[in-house]
Amino acid sequence: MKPIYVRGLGLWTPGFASPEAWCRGEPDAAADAPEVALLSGALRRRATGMTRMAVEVLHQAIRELSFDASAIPIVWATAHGEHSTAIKILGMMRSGEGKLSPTHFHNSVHNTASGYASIALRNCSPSTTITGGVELVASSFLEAACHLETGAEDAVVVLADEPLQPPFDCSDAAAPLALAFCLSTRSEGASAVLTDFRRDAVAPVKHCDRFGPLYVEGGRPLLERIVRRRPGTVALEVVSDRSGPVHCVDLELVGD
Amino acid sequence: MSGRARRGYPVTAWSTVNSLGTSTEQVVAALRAGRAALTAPPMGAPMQTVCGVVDDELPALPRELERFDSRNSRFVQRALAEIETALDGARERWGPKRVGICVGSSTAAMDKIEDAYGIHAETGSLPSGFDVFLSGSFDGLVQILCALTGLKGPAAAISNACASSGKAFASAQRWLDAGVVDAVLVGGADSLCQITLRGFRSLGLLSGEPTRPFSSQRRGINIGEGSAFALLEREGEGPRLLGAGESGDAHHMTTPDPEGRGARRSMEAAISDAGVSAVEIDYVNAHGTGTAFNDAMEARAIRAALGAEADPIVVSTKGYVGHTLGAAGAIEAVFVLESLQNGWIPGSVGADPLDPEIGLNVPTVAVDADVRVALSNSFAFGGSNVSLVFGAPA
Repeated sequence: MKPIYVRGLGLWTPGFASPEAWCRGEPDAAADAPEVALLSGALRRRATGMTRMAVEVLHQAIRELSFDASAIPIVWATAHGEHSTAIKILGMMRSGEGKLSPTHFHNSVHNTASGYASIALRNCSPSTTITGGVELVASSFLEAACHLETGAEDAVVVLADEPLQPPFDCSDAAAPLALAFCLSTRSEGASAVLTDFRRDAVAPVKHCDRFGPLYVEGGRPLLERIVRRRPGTVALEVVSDRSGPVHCVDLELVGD
Repeated sequence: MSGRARRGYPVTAWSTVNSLGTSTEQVVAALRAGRAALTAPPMGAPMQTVCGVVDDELPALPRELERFDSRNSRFVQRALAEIETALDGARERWGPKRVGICVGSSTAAMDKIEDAYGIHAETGSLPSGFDVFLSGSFDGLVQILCALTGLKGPAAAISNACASSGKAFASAQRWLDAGVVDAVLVGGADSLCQITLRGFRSLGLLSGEPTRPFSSQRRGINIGEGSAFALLEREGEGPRLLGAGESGDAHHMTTPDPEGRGARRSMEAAISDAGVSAVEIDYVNAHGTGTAFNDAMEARAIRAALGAEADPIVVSTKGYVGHTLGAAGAIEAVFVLESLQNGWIPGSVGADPLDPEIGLNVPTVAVDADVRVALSNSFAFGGSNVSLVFGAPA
């Protein structure tokens, strides 16, 4: 496969509204909700917290780039999708006449963020929502890499998950996390290049205390190492009970 | 279509489980006979409706996989059992690391999550042994497929609502084009649950009677369930996946662009990707949900995408099994593969009397036809569209 250049990054989690802010490690209490400048007021009002966070990091990853954002394929990755909305719906079904809100229903599909972003960007390109577990991050990069290998010049990967809600929650005080990577076959403006996606004998990604068991955290060290300018082999999957080689990629830096 | 021979990728085996039967043979016999299978949902419904229900009790998963057991996983296990020999052959031929898995689903085993939530509401505890990561998640679906097949290549689940398993074919083709695999087990699975029944009711789209796509008397959709799989290989014998097209409407979360521009774009992209001309399309298996809006929009889009010189037979098979949501693309792909392999097209059950505004050749009974090229559409919430072009065996 061709080398894949990284031309843009995005990150949002409560207290940290950019990749750089996250890597500085100093939370900003004012960053309690994503700005989501990409969405119109009407779309923003209807969008869920999960969708706002995912669209925010997409926008961060592409806003500095001079390309036609209506034509890029976007790969979205989420283990549990619009989990909070699904929990709201489960509650509604048990109350009153068990009627659902149509807005909640259409906001409950895994490709909700994709739908809102496509409207906002007028993006009519292929947009695929990958879901799963320990392979989630590697699968989403594979999908984007295949777009780049088969004709696309740019593709964006957006990783987003929120912590499980009661009664399915697994840990206290866990935070949501969204990350984005704008990938390209072109080196202009790139900060890093990725080569040789594979499984190898590397240590999987350890969870941060703040997130709980989110599979999308498998993309966090790659983003951190690009921002902190630390090349090397980087794991793309979180610690699990699976044994054997771990999904990883070689990271080289460019543009310094 | 970099890296792909013009003749596409052969589909060397396929299978399906749905309300028409728990074997492909049963399903095809019912389809050929024009026999729909829409009945009252087993778990109760919020309104008068019928669904495509898989009635037969299916075997539980083996003991080592019982933590993944669900209605959805039993559909998958049943469908895979039918193509076991072909899967063994592909694993042997290409090596397990060169055979991928790509599966689409809109809700995975949501019925298990609904049950667990209800039990917690009543007792204060989740059911014993319930693990949302395994029982109700898409990861569970992928893990079952890996465990049941022994395949070790890339494995992913796609969840783009009702376009999920159609898009799984598009991704599988992309993996083959990019050279990261030599074969892909591609398919879909979805099972009935309360959220989808009540959700489609909230949108006013659920029909109280058997759905009648393309009819002037259509009243909306019926929800169905089931699973289907196809084995795509780089080389082999069988009907072929010639091309795929994907598009976004960029219009509205639930309402398709009334002009059908997104649907048209996905069909045009698929036809172009397949390297065929629009007039070569003999058969279109439409998305055809049976809602007033979808069928009118899709008919307009088909006429626009294929042009005035094309005269394909257009059929919706949702009148047989209902709308199987994330599994629909794969189940309808299997129906198309049967047509390409055996030279007949099912009738579009329920379409009589045909809505004169549709303006397409929609037969209501099965017809014998030398189908050389066929197109299958799936459209979804979020304006997510996918069209697939299949060709007859070489």
